[in-house]
Amino acid sequence: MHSNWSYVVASYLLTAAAIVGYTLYLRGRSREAAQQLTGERE
Amino acid sequence: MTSPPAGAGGVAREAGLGKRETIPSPALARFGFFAVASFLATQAWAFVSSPPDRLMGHLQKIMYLHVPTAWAGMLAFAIVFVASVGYLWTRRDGWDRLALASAEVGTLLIAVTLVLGSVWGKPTWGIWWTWDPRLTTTAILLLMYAGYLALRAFVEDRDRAARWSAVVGIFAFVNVPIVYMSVRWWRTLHQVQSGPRTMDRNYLMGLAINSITILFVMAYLIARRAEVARLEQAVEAELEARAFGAAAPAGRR
Repeated sequence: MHSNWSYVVASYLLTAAAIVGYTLYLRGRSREAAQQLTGERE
Repeated sequence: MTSPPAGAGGVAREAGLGKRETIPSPALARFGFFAVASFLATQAWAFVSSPPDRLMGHLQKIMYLHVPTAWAGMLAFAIVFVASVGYLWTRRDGWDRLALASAEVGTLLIAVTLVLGSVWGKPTWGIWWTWDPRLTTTAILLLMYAGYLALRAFVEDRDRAARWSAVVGIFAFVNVPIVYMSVRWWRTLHQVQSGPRTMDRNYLMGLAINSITILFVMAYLIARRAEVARLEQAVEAELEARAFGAAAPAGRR
């Protein structure tokens, strides 16, 4: 019987990091584009 | 959420950025919350309700992430295929944005699948990586779609990038059924697909519901990425309009 909790925890952390990280990346890009369209007009 | 200030111009309105509109749209933001909440709930339920496996122990719980991300990633590539055909058929930008968004999200999900498989493989097989047919074909799949995204990034002309990537998106999909069948065609280390007949009931329901809720997360990410693409195309159009506006008076001089 193996417990290997560290591998299980690492799997959840890696998945969460990928999804949250990608969501934040998209959020940053959409903010930047929105600012270019509306907020930073000369 | 981002709220555009009042006074947004014509291009901003075309991009869906009116005075009261936000990014993401309220409906999409609500769907995102639902997707993440349902995925967390089904993960928690599967985690708590499934007993340790006789041979793998608690490592079995990695299956609730590894398998759903793999299926969702391959489904995302199927959407790339459909959207690419749709673009070549109609030349409408919406198909192209859907293909781009699905390719990026699918690449992310397949990358997560490979990493999780490696994390599971180390304590189970004793190795992080081996050139098993399933692992190798999946790595090739990842590289193909990374190439697809690189092609889009490096070709400056948007129409040309859309056309070329649509062709790549159609041909790259050929590898998806090969990945799926690889465990049956070349039976080596990676086990064949599990199903209701071969899985213990304790694990089957957890896998089934997580395979559904990951689809909500995938759909949300694709919609968000397509929205970013739409905004960036609007920015591009705005910059072109400005450049054209600046060049016209100079030409008259």
